[in-house]
Amino acid sequence: MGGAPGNDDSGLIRAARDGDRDAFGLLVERYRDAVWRTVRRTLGNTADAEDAVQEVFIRALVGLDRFDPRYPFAPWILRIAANYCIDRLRRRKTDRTRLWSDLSESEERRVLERMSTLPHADEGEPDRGRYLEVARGLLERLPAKRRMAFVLREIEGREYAEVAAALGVPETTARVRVWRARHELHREFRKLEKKGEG
Amino acid sequence: MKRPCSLFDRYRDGMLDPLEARRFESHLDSCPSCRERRLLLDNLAHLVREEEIGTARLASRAIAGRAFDRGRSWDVLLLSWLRPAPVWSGLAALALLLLLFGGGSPGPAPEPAGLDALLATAGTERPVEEFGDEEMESWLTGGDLR
Repeated sequence: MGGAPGNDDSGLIRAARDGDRDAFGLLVERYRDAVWRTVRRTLGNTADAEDAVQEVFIRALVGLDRFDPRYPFAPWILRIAANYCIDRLRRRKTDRTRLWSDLSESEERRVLERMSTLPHADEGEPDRGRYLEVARGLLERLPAKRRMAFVLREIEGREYAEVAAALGVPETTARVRVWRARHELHREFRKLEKKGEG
Repeated sequence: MKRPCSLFDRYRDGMLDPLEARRFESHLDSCPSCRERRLLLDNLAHLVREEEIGTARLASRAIAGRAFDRGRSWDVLLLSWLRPAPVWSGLAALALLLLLFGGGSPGPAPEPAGLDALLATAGTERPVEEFGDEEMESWLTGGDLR
């Protein structure tokens, strides 16, 4: 990222600190999409994600004086985004009784069964959106920190070092959070299956 | 000898050597639980990854402009200084000063924060000293702590 002298991240950061809105606008331009992908996939809806992107860059601007421009900007902004998402998820109330509201139990069972027995379970299905709803419903059941770690690793495909940097924890902790998230998703899935059988 | 199921996460993260990976793949053929978990996670990741999420509606200049308008206001600046990191850094510095000039003894070295944080995720109240290496390793590979 960055390239032309004075137009690299550290030059833009210095200019933004001095009040240069255009410089900060260029920084936003460079990192907006990456922040958007992370917050949108973690929070699960567009309205929350729009608020999140704006808030992340406000926090970045406020904290810019404390940022050391010798280090890369990407992990720092991702960390602000991750912290924001975790705060936001913690304040949400999750309905853990059903994955969605307008589907019969037999349909729900069918979707769950396909998801655990077929690769690309939604292929050829008339309503693929239901599969996404199930996936989102399962993710909603994870505690905030584990959900954030899971999204960064499993959905965004980031290395554990990047996940750890974004979460501000040692790499081992990041790994444990992802492993626990996988374990809990499977456990929640089984609970739903059992409920369907009962 | 580890139970093959406990290697699931190492396999998924590409941490097994080729021989171990081949062994685990044979295990997948015969273990419905590991197979189910793998397909579930693959489907879940695929579905969320493939979701059409578009891009942020606000243009970068508008985001930057709002950040300047909001981010330089006195209330936001005040709140930023009350966020945990600066406050805890200040308290830690104060405690250190008291320790150095107040005559107190430093006491035993604390456990590394990383390990405490890890144990906190396991929901156990046992002190860290009680866990042997094997038990910790088993926990890190998916087992439960007592």
